[in-house]
Amino acid sequence: MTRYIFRRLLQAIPLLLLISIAVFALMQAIPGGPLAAYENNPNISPEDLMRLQEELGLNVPKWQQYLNWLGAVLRGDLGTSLVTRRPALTEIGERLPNTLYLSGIAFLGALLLSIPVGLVSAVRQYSWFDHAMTTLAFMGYSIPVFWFGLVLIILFNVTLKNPLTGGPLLPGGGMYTIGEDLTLEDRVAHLLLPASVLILHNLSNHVRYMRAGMLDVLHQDYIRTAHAKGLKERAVIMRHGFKNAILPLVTVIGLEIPGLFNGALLTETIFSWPGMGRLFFTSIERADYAVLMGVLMLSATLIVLFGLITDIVYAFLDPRIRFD
Amino acid sequence: MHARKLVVPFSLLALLFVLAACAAPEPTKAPPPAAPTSAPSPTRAPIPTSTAAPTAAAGPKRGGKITLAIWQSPTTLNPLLGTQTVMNEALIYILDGMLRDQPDGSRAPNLAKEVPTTQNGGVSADGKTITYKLKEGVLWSDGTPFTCDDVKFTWQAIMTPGIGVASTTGYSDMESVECPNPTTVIVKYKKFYAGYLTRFGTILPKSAGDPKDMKNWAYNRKPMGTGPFKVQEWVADDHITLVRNENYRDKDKPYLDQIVVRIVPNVDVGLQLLASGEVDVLWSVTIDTTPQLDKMAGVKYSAPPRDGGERIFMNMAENKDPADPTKPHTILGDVKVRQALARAVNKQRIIDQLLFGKVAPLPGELNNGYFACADVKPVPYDAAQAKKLLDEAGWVVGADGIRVSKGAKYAPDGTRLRLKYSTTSGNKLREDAQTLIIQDFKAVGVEAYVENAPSSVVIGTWDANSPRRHGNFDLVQYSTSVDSLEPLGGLINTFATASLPSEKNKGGQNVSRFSDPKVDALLTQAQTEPDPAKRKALYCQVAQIVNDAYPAIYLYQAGNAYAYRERLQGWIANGNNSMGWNAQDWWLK
Amino acid sequence: MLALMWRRFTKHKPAMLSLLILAIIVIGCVLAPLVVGYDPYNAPVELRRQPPSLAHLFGTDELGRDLLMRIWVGGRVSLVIGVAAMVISISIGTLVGALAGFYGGWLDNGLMRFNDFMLALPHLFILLLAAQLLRTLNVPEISGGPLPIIVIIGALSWMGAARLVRGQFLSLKAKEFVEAARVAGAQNHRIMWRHILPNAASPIIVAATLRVGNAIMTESTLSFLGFGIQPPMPTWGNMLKNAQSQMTLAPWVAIFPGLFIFAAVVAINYVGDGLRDALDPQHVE
Repeated sequence: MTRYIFRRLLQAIPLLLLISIAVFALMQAIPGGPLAAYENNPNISPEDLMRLQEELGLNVPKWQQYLNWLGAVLRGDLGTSLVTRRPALTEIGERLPNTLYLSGIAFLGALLLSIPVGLVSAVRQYSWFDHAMTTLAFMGYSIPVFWFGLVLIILFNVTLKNPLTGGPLLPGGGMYTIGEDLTLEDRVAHLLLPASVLILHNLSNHVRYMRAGMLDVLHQDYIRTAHAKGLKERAVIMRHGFKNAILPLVTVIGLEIPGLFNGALLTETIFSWPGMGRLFFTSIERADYAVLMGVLMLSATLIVLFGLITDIVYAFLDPRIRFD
Repeated sequence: MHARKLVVPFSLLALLFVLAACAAPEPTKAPPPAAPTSAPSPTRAPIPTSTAAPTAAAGPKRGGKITLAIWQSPTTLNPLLGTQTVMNEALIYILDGMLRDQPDGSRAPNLAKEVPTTQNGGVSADGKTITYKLKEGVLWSDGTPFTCDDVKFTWQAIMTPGIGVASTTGYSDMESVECPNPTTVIVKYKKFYAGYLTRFGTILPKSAGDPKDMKNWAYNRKPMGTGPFKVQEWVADDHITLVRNENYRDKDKPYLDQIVVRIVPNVDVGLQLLASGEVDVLWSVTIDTTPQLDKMAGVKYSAPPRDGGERIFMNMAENKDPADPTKPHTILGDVKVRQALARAVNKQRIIDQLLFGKVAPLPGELNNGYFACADVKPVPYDAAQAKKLLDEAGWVVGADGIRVSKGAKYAPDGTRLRLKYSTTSGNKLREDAQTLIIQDFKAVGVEAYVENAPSSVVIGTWDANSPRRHGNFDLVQYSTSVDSLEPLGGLINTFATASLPSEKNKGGQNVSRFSDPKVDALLTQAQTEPDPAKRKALYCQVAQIVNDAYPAIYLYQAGNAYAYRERLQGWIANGNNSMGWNAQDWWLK
Repeated sequence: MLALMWRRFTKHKPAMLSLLILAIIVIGCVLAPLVVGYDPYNAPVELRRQPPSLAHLFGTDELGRDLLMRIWVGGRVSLVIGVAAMVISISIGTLVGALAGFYGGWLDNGLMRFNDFMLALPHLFILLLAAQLLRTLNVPEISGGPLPIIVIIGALSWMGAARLVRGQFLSLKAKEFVEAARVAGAQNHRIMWRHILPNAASPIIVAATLRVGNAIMTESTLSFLGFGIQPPMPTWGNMLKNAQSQMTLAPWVAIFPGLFIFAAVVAINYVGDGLRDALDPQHVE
């Protein structure tokens, strides 16, 4: 097992190098380029443009730009943003905690809700509970996030008023009320709408996988055997079913955790959340190579890492899988 | 059993249908008479100041906080490193310059005591030496005195090579900045620079840091200035908190204690926060959203006319990558076709229907301020004339109503009159206008197909293969201006032969590939003409020649609305400056 | 066999009703633009934002175009994107997952590393980038149309399915019935496609149904960010995006396209659910 993990980690290095080359090459293809922001501005003369091209290091050959970036990474640096002129690491460091705060809470919320819901839905297949939950899952899945977010804002922020203050019932965006002391209520109030959108979205997916996994297990012969032996239903489910039923969900979770670090672009956009999703999107718009490279490689590294962790957890949960 | 399963989702569907059907019908109606907008007169005459508080019974009060929303994220607050409009929107509260642009397009002294002119001895006879007298007793917000040395430092910082300063335009033409005493600045230009009054729009303190190390300045995130407010904190992508500058030169001002600048991701989010009351002021919304503002209780808006506006550049040279500017476009190379297209567009319908009549048609370049040319008139809408022109140009109506060439000037017979039409995606007003314009084209037998892209692509650089630069486009629509307050640079960039984009001149911005030796000569003459009145005559000749050649279809004047809650008093709309240009006078009712 | 499945499927009432709804949507999308007189592209702007009425059942949009007609035309694009992208994605995913899970060893290792590589590539970035790049291509026949979006979405979304299928194959290949088939002399490919795949079908069907909705949703996300199919060509996604600024003025403009996405995806998922029951040999009511 240790040897297996070690081998996989070694394999990850060339994989990540390959990805970084691919991403770097793709990035050069961003239409517009980093100087697009200086265009269409009467104050920027053609001479200014040529000078900026030189001074921002854009005249250096591409392969050399890549090697410079790689060298910087090996020194624990991610280069400097072409736009804000600040270290890319600082730019990312300012957004990452905000994103993990929102996505993390939403993810845990969805997970903690989905396991029991999926389990009960499967065991009581076609009960009213199952129908209600399946419906809810379908709905959560089928509603476009940005549309749902906007409807929530119009409802809870624009239309409904707080009876005590006369202000909006819930804040329509941001992480806290600016210029006031931080209180728990205030933070929760700001978290409520964006987290609900994310939870409903994640929940549906998780419940479906949990339910499907559990249903499969319930139809397996060993469960029927256990039933036939007269074991209590709860015992059957917990002892024999659960561990196998959670397998599909584990795969899904392994795919999702790295995404938490990327932030939820649409939710962050609608709820003015200063997170990674928006940093990523504005970096594309601005062709801010260093920041974009940092964001994308962080995400790639996590995906590779969690791919490995998923496989290990799989092995732990399913003894039929052997690693050689 | 199963049937019950369906009751929930489908009854929900039904409910939503009902909701949609019941939603209050809001037939299009004229804005209520109470709308505060000083509707721009249809002429191009500079619009006088429209005050936010026409009647203020009680005088200004001190104290209070407002929240305003901008919907782009500033990249830096060091004016030397950035060019974004939104950066200037934030900096106007913090930094001052020599002069400040007024609503009528004139300039008023800010840190300078008076506007330098030949009469008051501020401008030498050859126009190459400018002398500024500085106001006395001005302090930086940290309490240190503001002097001529700071002006000199600003120039030196801008001219420091290798640090990536955004714009050196004008400053690179300066020979020296001298300080005979702390309140006198003498700027000497190597050659006459027409835009001398536009320079030193922001002045940095010499304590900002060593220019060579500019990208690491703490100043970039927390600038210090002589303006009414100073930065308390800036949380990236979230907000900038500005607090009163206790050292502001006018002891009674600013009236407000605090301005929170909220950075929201897009304008629709900003509109919702304005509707809910979370923000008091919303920066720059397109006028097509004003029906939403009309519905908000206690919210007013004003749309001051601005410089420049929306136009469709037509590619006069061949549509190829890269294009040879001397080869004419097969369809648009013929001036009659361009003229016909300009007449085919019903501008007034776009203005009436999409902009609620709140802006004027754009007559051409130079629509604002001192250099506005009254003789340059908008092209009238005349579909019949357009059809006639196209017939004359050798484009006959084909079987499906779209014209086909038969004896056209440059197109081989049988060419279909089909044009690629691009604009920036994601700008609703622009896309809607495009839809109407395509219809207008179709009515005269011209087919246009849409190929929109994000603005970074449409506007983009030569190296990023921008079609606008390389010349592989037919029609491209966006807003720009030649900067009417001093249009020389803008006119050269847009219409001089020397500005034709090419591999050798990647920065060239002459998008329509316009080239006329008369225009080149007039612009060269203007470069050495210190007398503004004579320059104006030259510019207006250029504008007229350009208009007669139809390199662009001029649509409507720029003019976004600023929305604010009624309780904000003292704001004066100013289309020539950032929203906070008179923030020291703002107060809350 | 098919008849048996159909009988099982018809017993699944929600799936049947969903099939009906899907049929109505599909028929509407195909036929309505040919029959009804409104032009989805012509913009009589003076008639804008009219609430639902007999002349305009769903009202008109901000340019005076009949909303229902735009929904039918937009639905053509959205549904084609959803289904076509799903087919691409599930085909690749099933093939890769089956090969990797069944053969194991170096093939599994190689395919899974490729899977890792594809997974680790930043999808949204590539989607946005590809959508932009394809638009700067000077090919009027395909640029602006749905084909590039379909290919991008399909080619970037098969990895989850591949992992799922591989997991199924890993567990199932150790099963008795596989041994039995092998003893009976069945070839590898026969075991894979005839014996294991049907047993792995239900999670694949679940994944496939999700994928259709996912692809429709991805298109709307791209549209929301300004990178999707460009107006004036409607899709449900870009209609919703355009409605964003109309939500308080003309709510129907926002509500109806949202409802159609919602109804279509819910119906597709119920049909998937019904198919799952119908295909499952161990299915008991």
